[in-house]
Amino acid sequence: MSQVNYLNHDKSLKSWLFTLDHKRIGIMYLVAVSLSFLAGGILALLVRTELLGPGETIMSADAYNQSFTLHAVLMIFAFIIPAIPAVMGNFVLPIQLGAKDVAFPRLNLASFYIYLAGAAIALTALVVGRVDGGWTFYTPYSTSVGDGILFITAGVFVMGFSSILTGLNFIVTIHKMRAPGLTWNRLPLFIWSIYATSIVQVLATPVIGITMVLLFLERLLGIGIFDPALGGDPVLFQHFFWFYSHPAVYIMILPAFGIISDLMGTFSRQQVSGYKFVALSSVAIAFLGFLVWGHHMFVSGQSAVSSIIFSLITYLIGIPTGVKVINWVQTMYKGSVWLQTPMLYALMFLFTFSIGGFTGVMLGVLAVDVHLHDTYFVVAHFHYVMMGGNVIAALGGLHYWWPKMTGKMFNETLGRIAAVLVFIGFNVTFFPQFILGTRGMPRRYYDYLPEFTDLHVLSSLGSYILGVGLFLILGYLLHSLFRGKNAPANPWGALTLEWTHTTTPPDPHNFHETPIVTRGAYDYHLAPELFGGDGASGDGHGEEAEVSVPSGQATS
Amino acid sequence: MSQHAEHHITPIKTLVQVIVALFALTVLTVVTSRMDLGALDVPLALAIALTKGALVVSVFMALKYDNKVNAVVFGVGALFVVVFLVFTLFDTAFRGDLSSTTKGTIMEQEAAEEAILEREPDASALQFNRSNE
Repeated sequence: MSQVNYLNHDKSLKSWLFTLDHKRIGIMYLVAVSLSFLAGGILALLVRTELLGPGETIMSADAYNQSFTLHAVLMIFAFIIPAIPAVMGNFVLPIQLGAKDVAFPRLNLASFYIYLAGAAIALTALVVGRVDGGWTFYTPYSTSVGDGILFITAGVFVMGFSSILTGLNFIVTIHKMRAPGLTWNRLPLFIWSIYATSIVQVLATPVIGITMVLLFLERLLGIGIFDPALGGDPVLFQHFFWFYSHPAVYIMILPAFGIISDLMGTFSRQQVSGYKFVALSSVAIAFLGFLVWGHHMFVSGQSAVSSIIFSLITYLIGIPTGVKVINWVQTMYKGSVWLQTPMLYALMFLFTFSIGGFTGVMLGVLAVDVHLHDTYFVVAHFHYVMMGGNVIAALGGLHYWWPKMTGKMFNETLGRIAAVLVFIGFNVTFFPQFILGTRGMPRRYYDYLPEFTDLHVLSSLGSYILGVGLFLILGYLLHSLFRGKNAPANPWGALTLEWTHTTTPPDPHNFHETPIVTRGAYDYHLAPELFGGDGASGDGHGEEAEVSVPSGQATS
Repeated sequence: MSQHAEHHITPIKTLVQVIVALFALTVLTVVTSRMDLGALDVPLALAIALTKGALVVSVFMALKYDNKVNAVVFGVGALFVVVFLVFTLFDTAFRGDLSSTTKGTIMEQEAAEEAILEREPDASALQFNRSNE
């Protein structure tokens, strides 16, 4: 590559480890969370293999309990929560705002190392003792069994600081560093969703920190907070835990909504329908997300009055979520839908997330939840939201911004094949779990009755298809780094600043001149000559990849 | 920086008034904790604590004189603490009422237990579920 960009201007290891460049920090997060995803994914495959038949298949019951617990902790705290905000938020957000970096670059780097430290502390639990109580750390089990729990909770506590600092950084950046002309109504919807996410991160994450400290104090000093024998209340732990962990679900899913909005607009060549409603629904979800934590506690012994209130508010969450889904579908209506790999993931998301959302409303119904609580129905619902929502959207975003991040195009054909494999594998894995749950198969069980075998085998086979799809993605993305064709400046013909006003890969300082924004992020109805910017003028380099373009569309 | 130029210096007199108020409220906390105010026990203790916190934040931490946006940010944080407490109290205050297999509310049960105790003081030896409440 002839031009100077953020990847080649200084290639030393030191320049990466001490970088203050948001793009490099985003890439370092990408490597770290990908490793967490890989480790968590391998554990998931082991768990599914164990469940191929009743009784022991490949591991002992103890190893099984530890495997699913570590799978969950790694996936939730070390992968899903930081994946989109820390990777794509870091890389894309400042450029989409027309800024040269985030508001506090040093704090940004500190967030990354705090995240690493937290993950390392959590993984120490593997060495010092067993952790087998699931990712929710419910008392009294967590206060009475195994020393590993201390390390896991300490790790979660430390990783929480990373989350808070990243959220704080983004809030200040969005408020203070928008380019001239980039009003709130012109912001890309990805920014709106990261903004809503950041608010939740800053407000909710301290509570999980407090909860972990209280757990620590009870274990080490015998202070009676959750133990009834000491005057405590075990249900109080669940209040504390879910006051963070339900909003944390929105920390996981809101950035995914942002990616889907961007993909829908870009690959439909249309303004995102109901822009303001889609933007403000993120804020509404963030707010309502704080008021529904008790729907995880319907069978905990919580008062019926609380359960009724939490159940009612849970239904309300469906409204802003429905606003988004309807507007995404409407954005495609009469648009020039371009079925490139990122858009395939966006379409996939509509199916999988909608199933996850609807089954969530079902679980919000008090009487239904009593029947389905702690069954595989909940496992399936959770994965349809977390994997079918967050991970699918993250994959869409990764494919969308991969050319911008690396300057390389991936193999489109392999991308489409992998997307189909992921879709089939995902549904074959988790849909049977809905049926298992309604038939009474409890979650987290090592053994099961013979009549559940067929559905468990089907689910495990699905997980292998899913695994093949994900490893294929890993393979062709890595291949593209070394053998991929150079990416054009704006391969998708998108209109947000990271595509129209920066080179590919971006300059170390993002922009040569601060962009002046004169239009909205999805004004595809405006003439291309109004777009302006370095990227649109085509300062891509070397051989351009062949990207098919829908008729009547130009990709600059 | 204009913000530094506008930095407010709180007069000593105000600081002294606030610290005296804090001591007075601490005394009030201790006094009220020894009185049986029934259902008002917890709300009153929380109200006093809230007043003390507000004094510290607004005067000692100068939020009263600072940019109003900071007050909004602080207020939102405080609001969520209130949300957490209120919703959790919905649980602890009503726990067991609708799902209880016995007739009557917790308060009615307590009243019945007290009535028995008044009639027969020796009945205190009996095991009531909520004898400490």
